Amino acid sequence: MIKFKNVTKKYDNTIAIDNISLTIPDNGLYCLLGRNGAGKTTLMKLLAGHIDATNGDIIINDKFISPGRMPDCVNFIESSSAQFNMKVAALIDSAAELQDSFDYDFAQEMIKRLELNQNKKYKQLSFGMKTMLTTIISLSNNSKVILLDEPTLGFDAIMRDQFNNLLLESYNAHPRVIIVSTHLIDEIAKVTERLIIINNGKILMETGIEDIDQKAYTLTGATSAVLPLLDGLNCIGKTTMGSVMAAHIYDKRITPPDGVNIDRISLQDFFINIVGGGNKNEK
Amino acid sequence: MKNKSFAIAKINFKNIKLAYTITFITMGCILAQDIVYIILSFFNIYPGENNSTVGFGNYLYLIIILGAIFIPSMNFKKMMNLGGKRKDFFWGCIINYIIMAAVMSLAGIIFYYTYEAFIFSNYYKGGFSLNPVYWFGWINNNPVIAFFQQFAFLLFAAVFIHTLTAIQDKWYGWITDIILIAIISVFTPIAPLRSVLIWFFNLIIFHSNALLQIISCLILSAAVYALNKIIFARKPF
Repeated sequence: MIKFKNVTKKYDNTIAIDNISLTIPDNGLYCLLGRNGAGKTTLMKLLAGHIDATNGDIIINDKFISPGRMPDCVNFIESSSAQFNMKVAALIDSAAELQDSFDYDFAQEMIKRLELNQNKKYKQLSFGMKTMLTTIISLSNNSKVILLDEPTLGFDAIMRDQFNNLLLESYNAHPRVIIVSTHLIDEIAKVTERLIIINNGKILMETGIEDIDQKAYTLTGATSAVLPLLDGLNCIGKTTMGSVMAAHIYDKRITPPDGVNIDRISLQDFFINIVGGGNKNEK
Repeated sequence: MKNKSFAIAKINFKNIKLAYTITFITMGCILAQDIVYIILSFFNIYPGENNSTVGFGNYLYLIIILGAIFIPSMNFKKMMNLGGKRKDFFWGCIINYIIMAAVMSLAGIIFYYTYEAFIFSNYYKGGFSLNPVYWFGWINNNPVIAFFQQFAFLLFAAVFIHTLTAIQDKWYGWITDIILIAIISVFTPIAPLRSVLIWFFNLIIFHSNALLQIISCLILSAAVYALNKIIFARKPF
């Protein structure tokens, strides 16, 4: 079990993590979603014991985490992190030597499937391939907690699809806590079970993808018809175009009257609205 | 020590190529100069006469000095990015320095008795090798003891540089730099303080009792290296 208890992290005068409390009780694929600078990487670094919290406690399986007490059960490698300029094969071999629970066969299988040239040196790889290699190294680790920070950075659509399959296969082979931070919510939502939304260093929401599917929707219709429906509903964003209004809701489902349509909201739109970027008025 | 510490040491050895490159280029230049001297000697020209230069084998010191800079400054972060652990890095690095100090010390002595003996007696007539084993008087004991004296000194030098490099990104690193500079500049002109410096360097380099010199260097190495347990435990990457 992972627990953040009133955790704050400050860099000089900047608050990166603002009094967060969060519990991750079970194994699962978690998506950590947030804008640039929202605090995703800091949260992961804190959990991995790479940096100290300014205040509060981070606990994994009853053990307090800090740089002096880095947990063996957490594996966190930033996707954009620097690696030794060794051949891909040598990097995989080295990772296998350094990590207790490295699944060498899984790493080899993924390298073959993703057609990474094992004889190329790290610096000769494209940006996307570098990220993919780092992601493979991370996912091949069977630690109880795997943290992937922007693992699809620089990936094309096919690579992203391959990554999703890889993630699912890795999880099915070794169920554990895998937390993936990303911007590409609609794609990752195909494989993750739960969503953690962070903004300005605060946790805005921690919920299941199914919950969002059920509770998040858009009401579209004449402004005069839509506005009265919003009373008592949690409206996370509105868009008006002339006399037509689209209101994005995250609440219980309602049965709209004639003239008002109810539509599914994409996770991307849901995210944009929930972090406060969705109050647009176009005339 | 676990296998992972040896794995760290192996990866470190593979990834200080810049240190190897600088060292071997430098040695290549010295070798080229010696070859030119040898060729000129066929024409009875001896430009190296009465010259004293650094022993050929001592250029290998560059590997351990540069290695002790590159390992904490460049390899630490990458090692962690490969999934390495701090405690394994701590033990892995000392394996690096022990092996490097042993190899450099052995190579220094072998070069002293072979290549340098040959080149100085034939082409640097009247000059001598500025090899520390000779210069610091270690060779006056015997080659085996000289090996251990040089090994202990190199190990201390590597550990000291490693530690100093590791703290350069912290305020206390800069304070340490200032203190070191202050010690050298303040202690040197003041006679009583100068004698403290002399006592210290005598202990770790020149002491007539080889065993005392070796043990002093090893104890200091252990004490200084132990600080890395604290330094790297909290070093961000």
